[in-house]
Amino acid sequence: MGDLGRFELPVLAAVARLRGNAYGVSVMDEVSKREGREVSYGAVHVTLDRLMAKGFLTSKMGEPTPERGGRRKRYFELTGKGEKALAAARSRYRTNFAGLNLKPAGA
Amino acid sequence: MAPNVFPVTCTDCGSPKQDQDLPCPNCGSVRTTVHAAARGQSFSSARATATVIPYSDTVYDSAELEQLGIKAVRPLTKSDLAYLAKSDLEMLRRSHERPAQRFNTLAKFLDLILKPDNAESAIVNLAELYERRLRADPSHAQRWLVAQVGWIVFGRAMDVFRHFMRARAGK
Repeated sequence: MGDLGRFELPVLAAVARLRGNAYGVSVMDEVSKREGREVSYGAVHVTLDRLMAKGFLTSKMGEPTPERGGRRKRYFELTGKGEKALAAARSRYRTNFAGLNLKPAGA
Repeated sequence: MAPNVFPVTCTDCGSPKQDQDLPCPNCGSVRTTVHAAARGQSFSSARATATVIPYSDTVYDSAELEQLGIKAVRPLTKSDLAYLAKSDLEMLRRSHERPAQRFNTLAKFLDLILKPDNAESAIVNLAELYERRLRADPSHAQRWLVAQVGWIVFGRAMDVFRHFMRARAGK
């Protein structure tokens, strides 16, 4: 199974969290909120494409929106492979941080 | 009703007004002066006063806008102009027309380089974010848009490069 990149993990986690409403802007907002910094839409767009190419995500086009000239949003969903990759990343993090007694960030 | 962002007074008698939509409680005049901080491109901090046009509940009277030399690219609604003074209307015209043209140019470019579905969703998302930017920080919105398109193009190029390198390595 392919490893998740540094930025791919939060993007994949955001899609999982937004279930059903994960499109470019909502994913970008979710990642920005969780990471505590502004992330670039371009970076999110490219990462979503890469995650699809890796088979972690699927997408389907939504309904045309009249306020955007009839253009459609693309909604993303996690695949089984994506879910397994997320679970594997979580368990790796847990293993890495096990036994460490760290001060909270900013303390 | 949204609160006034700038102090508002009656143009005729000078009484303070709570609501710029309503006639003056003192003299009944509908003419309103908004004491707005100047928002020129030089970012001057000088304060200015200007008279706003009384508007209907839904849309500004287009004749009044034409008198001022304002040609909107779409019907202007109350929310567009609720707090704009006359001196800001020219800025509004500029900020509505040129960015829209630039956006369309970049959207055509994305249509050319990305697959149809990918381009469509990228353009919809960028339009949503660009509107957000124009409202929050119009002076940097254009640069922001170019940077996002640059990211997408760069990412696409990197993916093609990776694909090529993998093929070359026989993976």
